[in-house]
Amino acid sequence: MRRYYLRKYAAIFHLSFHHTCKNYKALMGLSVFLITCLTIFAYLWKVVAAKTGSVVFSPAQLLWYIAFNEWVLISTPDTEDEMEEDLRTGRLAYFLPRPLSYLGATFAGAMGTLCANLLVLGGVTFLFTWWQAGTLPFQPIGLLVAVFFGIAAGCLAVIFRMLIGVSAFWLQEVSPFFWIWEKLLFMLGGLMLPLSLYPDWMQWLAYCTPFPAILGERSALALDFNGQAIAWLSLSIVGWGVLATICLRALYRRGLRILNVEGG
Amino acid sequence: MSAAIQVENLSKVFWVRETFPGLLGAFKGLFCGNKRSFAAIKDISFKISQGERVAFIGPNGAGKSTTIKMLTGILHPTSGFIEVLGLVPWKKRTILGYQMGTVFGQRSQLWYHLPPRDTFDLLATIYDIEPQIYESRLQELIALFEIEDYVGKPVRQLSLGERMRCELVASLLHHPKILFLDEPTIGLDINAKLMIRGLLNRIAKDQGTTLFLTSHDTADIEQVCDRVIVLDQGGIITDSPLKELRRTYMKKKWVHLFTDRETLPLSLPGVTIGENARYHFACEVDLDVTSIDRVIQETLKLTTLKDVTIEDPSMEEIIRLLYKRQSDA
Repeated sequence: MRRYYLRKYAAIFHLSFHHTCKNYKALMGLSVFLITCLTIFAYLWKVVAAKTGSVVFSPAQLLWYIAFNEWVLISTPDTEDEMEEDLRTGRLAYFLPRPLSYLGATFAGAMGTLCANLLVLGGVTFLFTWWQAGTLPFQPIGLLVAVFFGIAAGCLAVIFRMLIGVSAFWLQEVSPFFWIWEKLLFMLGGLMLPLSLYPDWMQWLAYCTPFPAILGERSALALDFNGQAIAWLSLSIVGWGVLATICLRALYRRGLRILNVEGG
Repeated sequence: MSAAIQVENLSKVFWVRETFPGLLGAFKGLFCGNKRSFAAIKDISFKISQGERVAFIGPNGAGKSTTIKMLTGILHPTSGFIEVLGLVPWKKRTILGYQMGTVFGQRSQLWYHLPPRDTFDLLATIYDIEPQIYESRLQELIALFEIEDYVGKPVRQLSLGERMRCELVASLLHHPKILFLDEPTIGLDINAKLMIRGLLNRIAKDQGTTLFLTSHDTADIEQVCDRVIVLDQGGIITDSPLKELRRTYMKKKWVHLFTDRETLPLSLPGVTIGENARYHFACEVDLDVTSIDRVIQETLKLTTLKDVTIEDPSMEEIIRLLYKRQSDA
């Protein structure tokens, strides 16, 4: 029974992956945007290195760091927008009579989109950054680890974006909330600079949040690829993932109760 | 005939948070706010037999969506009893989900960049349909809805009418016993509307599917349904077969007289003149006050008749009258 139940979500994942691949114009748009970002950063770090003379990390290392960050950031689908739309327009009500979980189906669909984006943008990121940096950040086996953690971090980002989406039960409009989340992710996740370059108090603050697990902590493997960092990152992603999933399920159940009491 | 839907003394009360006007009011609302109860559905009862085609209509805010949400198990009633196909919807929503289908004109279930066939395959997995049963059912529906030419084309390339036919196929794949339809013909052209209505009639007759239709297009009601339930302000104001509804509310008829006189000096109690110029006299005749026969006789006393047309009030007119009577009451 459980196996059949999982088969439904696997089918949604598969169709969503296929759907995203068919929407090749959107993928091309994302690729162009990603290359634009990376081009700007590639020149920026080269200029900074040339002007300041000595830096902690080389421009090539920093470019790989930012490439890993942007790869996951741009690949994550706008799940919160879809959920907000479902809740605001009442589409959720038409989904609920189906014999499957709304949260499970939304997650499976988002993961399908995420994996398709990661695959295509991963290729673009890798080739462009390799061409610009001229070197690989670590051994080829490290790339496989990077791909694995890219998917894991993307999955964590999807769960958190679903958490923002489910808040539409109370807030109706989640875009301001997402805007705050995104800015915090940029700052405390270490989008532009590795967290190790932050002041100590800010590093401490950042590591109290899930943001480094989504961006900086994972991309830091491009700067220092070691077993301890991998173990710590795995723990961080799993821990935050479990916590976010528990919160998501609790909020969703509470939201459904609100729907029943206050109407759709 | 067994009951597909049974509703007894159903009520639903929502608690609505009241907000204060203005910016200060919005700030005040964060800390204190009143909750007001609002009765969306007030003690309604009805029974729908298997294979019946029922229109569930009412003005905006009448409580149609709330009732449908309770029938599909999404909302719990505040009081009363509901049974759909012998199951209590909010307790057995998942099991019931296998036996009912939904078609919503404004919400698509088809994946936009993929052919409808892909969505059908997904739905077959979601509804646990055995591959052989699915394949034969799909072929049957493809033939019935005549979609073989575009079942493999991406949805974005299909017209609205073609899409709606595919939506119907998607909703019927798991052989639902009840089909909930919300504005199934919205946005379609006349030909597509006619085709969809014809198909709905066919599946109801051939497969015994119970249809529960909500629409603001009265032609949907006239051409598909055999019974009408009218809801207003949370209560049922009419529940009757379509034919009976027509008989009850056809107290007025429009009469068009084409005569030899340019204008007709006709004045009778119960006759309201609509047009009286260029040899055309159009009037509304209240059959409780006078008869059409009398109008024609009086006309013949004044002039000779070239042509006569008698019009029944449209379904739209009947429904407008129903809503008006309710609001006047």
